[in-house]
Amino acid sequence: MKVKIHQWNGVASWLWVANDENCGICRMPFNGCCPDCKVPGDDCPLVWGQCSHCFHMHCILKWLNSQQVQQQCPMCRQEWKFKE
Amino acid sequence: MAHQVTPSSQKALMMELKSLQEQPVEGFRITLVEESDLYNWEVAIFGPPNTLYQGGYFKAHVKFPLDYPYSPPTFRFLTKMWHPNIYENGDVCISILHPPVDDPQSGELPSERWNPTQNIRTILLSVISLLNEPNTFSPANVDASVMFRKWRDSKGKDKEYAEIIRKQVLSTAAEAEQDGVKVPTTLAEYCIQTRVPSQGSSSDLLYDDLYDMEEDEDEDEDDDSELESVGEAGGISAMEYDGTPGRHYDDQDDSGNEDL
Repeated sequence: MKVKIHQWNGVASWLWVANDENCGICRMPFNGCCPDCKVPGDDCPLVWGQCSHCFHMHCILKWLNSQQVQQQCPMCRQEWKFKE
Repeated sequence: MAHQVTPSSQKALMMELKSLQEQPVEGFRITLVEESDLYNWEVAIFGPPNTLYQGGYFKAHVKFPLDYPYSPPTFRFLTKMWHPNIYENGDVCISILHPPVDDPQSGELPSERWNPTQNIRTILLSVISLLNEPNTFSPANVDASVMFRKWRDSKGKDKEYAEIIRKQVLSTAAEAEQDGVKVPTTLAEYCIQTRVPSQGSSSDLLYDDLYDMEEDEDEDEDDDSELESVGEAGGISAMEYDGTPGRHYDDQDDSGNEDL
């Protein structure tokens, strides 16, 4: 049997690969977005600290910006440094 | 993402309330003060068995701020409590309820303070362990603290502290009865409450948006024999299309480093 393809549509799905299912700050799934955003994806990215803990970028920035003292990871309380 | 009508705290509180109703913390009951207000919770604590508080039924109000979980809630007992770390007005003084500001006077390390990964569950567990193990280093009720230390240091010979607590515990029976609650007094009764069948699928709703697209496209793929060759090339074009480059591939390395 010979099949000739005239047209095809590609489909892809994507998931964030994080070490946890939910963001520890907003408690929403990583594969969704933070509570302030509407659409998951690059507009609401995940970021990792050097301690390897992961949060929605918006969530961790909101927390770090509210801290006058030392900036710590909310999970392990080590000093927060963004992982490159 | 800027200004929205619904603050994000509402979502967080809704999820916490739901998870507590599905898997209660042993020794607590939680209700909303008013059905329509997610920010005011009423908590009833059962005194843990084999402690002075055994059989007690203590009520408290937990008030959440609009920016929860970035700021801590307040925890105030409505039941009169005689305890080194509870103020006259019922406010509980415990480090995880304090924001991590620099306050050398408090004697609390910033590392013991509130942070947004704390939640009502961790607060409840802290409060219940505080009941039986007061912190006498920074008392909120100095008289109670002095009395507690006498009781502790005399190994129970100085009974004043214990007697006050037992009296308070007994006086809570009326309220428990009024609420139709049978307070557990044995360890078995106390613990059995956590064995509630958990209903899975509670968070499925949140994924709906994600899967919408897959469903839409399913109908185009009825020729199975072509699927394989289509897979790879198609994947890339779709990624570009939905504005989601393969960032997650880059991050794959990260997922392994979970060593703490």
